[in-house]
Amino acid sequence: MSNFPDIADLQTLLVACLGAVACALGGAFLVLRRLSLLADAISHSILLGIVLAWMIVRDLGSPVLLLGATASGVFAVWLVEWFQQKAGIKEDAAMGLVFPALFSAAVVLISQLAHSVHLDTDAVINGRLELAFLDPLILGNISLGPRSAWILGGLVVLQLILLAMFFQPLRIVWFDSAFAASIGISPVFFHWGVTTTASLTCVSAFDALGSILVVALMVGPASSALLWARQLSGVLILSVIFALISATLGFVTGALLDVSLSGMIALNTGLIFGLSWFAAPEDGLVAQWARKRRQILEFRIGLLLVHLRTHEDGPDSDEECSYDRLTTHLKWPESLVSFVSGDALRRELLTEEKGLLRCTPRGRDLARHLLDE
Amino acid sequence: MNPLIWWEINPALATVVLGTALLGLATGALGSMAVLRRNSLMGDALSHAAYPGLLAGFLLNGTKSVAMMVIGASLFAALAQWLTGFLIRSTRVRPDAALALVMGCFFGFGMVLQSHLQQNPSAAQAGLKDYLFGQAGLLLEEDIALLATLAVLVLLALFVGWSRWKIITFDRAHAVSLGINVSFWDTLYNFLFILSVVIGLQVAGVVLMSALLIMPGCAARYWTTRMSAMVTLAGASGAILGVAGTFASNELSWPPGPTIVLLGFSWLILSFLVRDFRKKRTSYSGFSQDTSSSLNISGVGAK
Amino acid sequence: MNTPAIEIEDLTVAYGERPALWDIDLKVPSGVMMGLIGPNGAGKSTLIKTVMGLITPAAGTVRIFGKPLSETGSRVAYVPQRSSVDWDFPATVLDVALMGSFGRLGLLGRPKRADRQTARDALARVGISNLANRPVNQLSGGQQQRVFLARALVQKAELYLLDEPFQGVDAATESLILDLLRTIRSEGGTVVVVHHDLQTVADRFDQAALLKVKLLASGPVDEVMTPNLLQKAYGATGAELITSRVSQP
Repeated sequence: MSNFPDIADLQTLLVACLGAVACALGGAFLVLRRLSLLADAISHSILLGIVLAWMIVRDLGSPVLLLGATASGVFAVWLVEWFQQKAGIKEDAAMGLVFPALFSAAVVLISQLAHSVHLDTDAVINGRLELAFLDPLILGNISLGPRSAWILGGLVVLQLILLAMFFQPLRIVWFDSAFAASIGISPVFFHWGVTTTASLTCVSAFDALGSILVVALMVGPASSALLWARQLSGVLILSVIFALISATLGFVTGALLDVSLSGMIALNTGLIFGLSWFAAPEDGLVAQWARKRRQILEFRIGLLLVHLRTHEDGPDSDEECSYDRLTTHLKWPESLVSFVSGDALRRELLTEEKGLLRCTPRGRDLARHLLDE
Repeated sequence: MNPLIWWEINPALATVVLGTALLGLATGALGSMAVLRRNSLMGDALSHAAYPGLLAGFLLNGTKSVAMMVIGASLFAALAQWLTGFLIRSTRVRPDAALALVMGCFFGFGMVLQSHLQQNPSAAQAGLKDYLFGQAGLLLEEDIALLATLAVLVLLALFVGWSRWKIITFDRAHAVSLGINVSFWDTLYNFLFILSVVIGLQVAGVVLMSALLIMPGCAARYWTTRMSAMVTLAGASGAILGVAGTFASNELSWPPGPTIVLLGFSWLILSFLVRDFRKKRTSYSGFSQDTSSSLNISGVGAK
Repeated sequence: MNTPAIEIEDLTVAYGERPALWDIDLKVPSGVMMGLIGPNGAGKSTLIKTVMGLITPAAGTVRIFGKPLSETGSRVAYVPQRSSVDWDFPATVLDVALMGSFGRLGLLGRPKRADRQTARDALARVGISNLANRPVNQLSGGQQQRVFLARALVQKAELYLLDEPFQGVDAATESLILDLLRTIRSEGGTVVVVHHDLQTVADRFDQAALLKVKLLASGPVDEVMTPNLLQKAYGATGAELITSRVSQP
């Protein structure tokens, strides 16, 4: 533990961070389209593409494998849509069917090829982040650092280029695809473009991070960011920041506790989401709680004012507006009546006269406003 | 043939066959209701969320005690389900994101626990990884007792709660207006659902659990237009798929869980093709119009 | 004096920040056919749902036939909007109609021969007995509405609450529903209908309640459908349009 951040550790951290950023960027668009679970479906489906591609080229290092995997991710999404549109199965069930089927096919194939291929299904789920630094990219005689870092780094660059090129049309399609189609932007093109990018992301990242962490990183940072930011650009930037924090924190805690790094990173995306959920300015639990308390009081004062205003000119005004009878008419306990009317009296929305409550002009205005009169 | 004789010939295989049949029955019937409730992916989320609970049960007890692990897994699954619901109710987070998020984080915790357990290897933990992909072949007779209990519980609950669950599933508001205690029957359903996911983990594994729940129901929907027939058929076909899948995996020496899933998928596609064929031949007067109108309505009704 | 079918006192309902209903006092006498009208977002469906106990009010009480809602059992039949359920559900027309008989059934809720006959009779009354075994995902909009109505009839309720039953149905279904509701009233039942087509209010209902978050008026149709009140609910131009048509013979 003496030289904790040695060069291997830093390389691992680099892989984790690049993977996290790649997933967060690709995932944000899925989350915004309410397709988060496609990340799950894709990441479980790519194994089949890898196995099939391997059966053709018989080389685990071949880039054809990446191609096959990406294609099978896109195929999974296509299959989900086919089930929905042609076979009358609801979206949720269609997703739940497709990825176990494709995954099963892959597992069966692997079990039959076990003697000739070394594909560890376990690693697909868990990832091998800890071992990423053992697989360097070697050019000539020089080791250029982990191969995964280069792949994921390339993916991040590709995503940034695509984003810079298509940011405006993407924003329009994602907000209102019918409008986008009407002004000549093809929603279908962008839908499959994003799906392909997401599939490519899963493919590039799962080897290092594992399919479940890929899902967590695609969905977690974007969901947290959505609680803080309203604009697409803000959501993307915050997603990247949250992903980087999750990766770093997860790496450090995982390394210190000597447990699964992927697992710790997934937990940290959850932690960041939990904190956001708690503290976010409008949707956070604290903000909601405070707003609710304020609202309840405002609401009750409004209720009291409207009640008084409705009845103050009526024949039963002595009955309905008497302080003592309010408990019956509003179905409030005594303490609540005194608390609410006390607050309203202090704010000069009410006056009290011989046990009869009356709206002041301001109180009457407020009641009128509340009733939209 | 007397099944008892067969039991004596190959008791190990007979145990597995019986176990997968019982599980297929329970998950098929319960899962078809999840399909109707548009809650199909809950099974996937819960099976992932239960994984750390399973390991925690092991960690606390120190040995592979089925009871402890089932309790731990059930607690985690229930927590995940509650958390998902609370998240959806209290934030702008969409249901799909909530499910994926809870699933990812809970499973991440499972990975942490698993890596921790691997550092101090003891003989008993050898089987722990099987919960990831399921190891139907390792079913023991005491597991059968557990699976049989589950199947009986599910059938009993379906018998008693049938008419209420049917009304709730079709029209929740109408159920409330009839004075049905909707939250009680929802809770009972969730309880059984969690229990079958947790017990099924050992057979099907985390990844494939959802298929066991969804496939029989979706396939059954193609054959029938009544909920009673759908749930019955889903339960029966779930059991048959379990049996057939086990035999097939035994013959072909394929892994059992994936074999059952692939068989189920083939059954689904076959069911669809048969429906499609019959539909084209009889060319039902209202069918093409009906599917479009039902899609339309589902678009309007979706929240 | 009869106990009113519905008695609402000081009812307030809020969705989040916005009040949906404010301080409603409304009595629906038994044996009437009342149209519940008001502009979009006036809280018509909310009021019905609150009366059914589907929404918990922030304040106020609802009594049905003089009793709190929990004691009314299946005396109240609720016909929701068609789009509120998934019509892809695997059930036949008869299955759905039979669901109405639940309140009379035993512990397990299994329908008996007599209940089946009641359901078939109800289907005949709404003119779809030939569809009894048709799956509900093969029905047109009008047929779906008739199935809902049959389900309510099977319930043998005394109070019928219908949410936009005339929405998007064919002319034949529309007149059938209307006839049926009138028959229910003539047999002593009470009918409350959420309705948004102002021009037909006078022909169809004997009582009306005009809602816009607050209850603007309730009572006999000609007392409620006055230009003054309509203007209050719908704004100047809307009311002009409506009254010009209402005043036509």
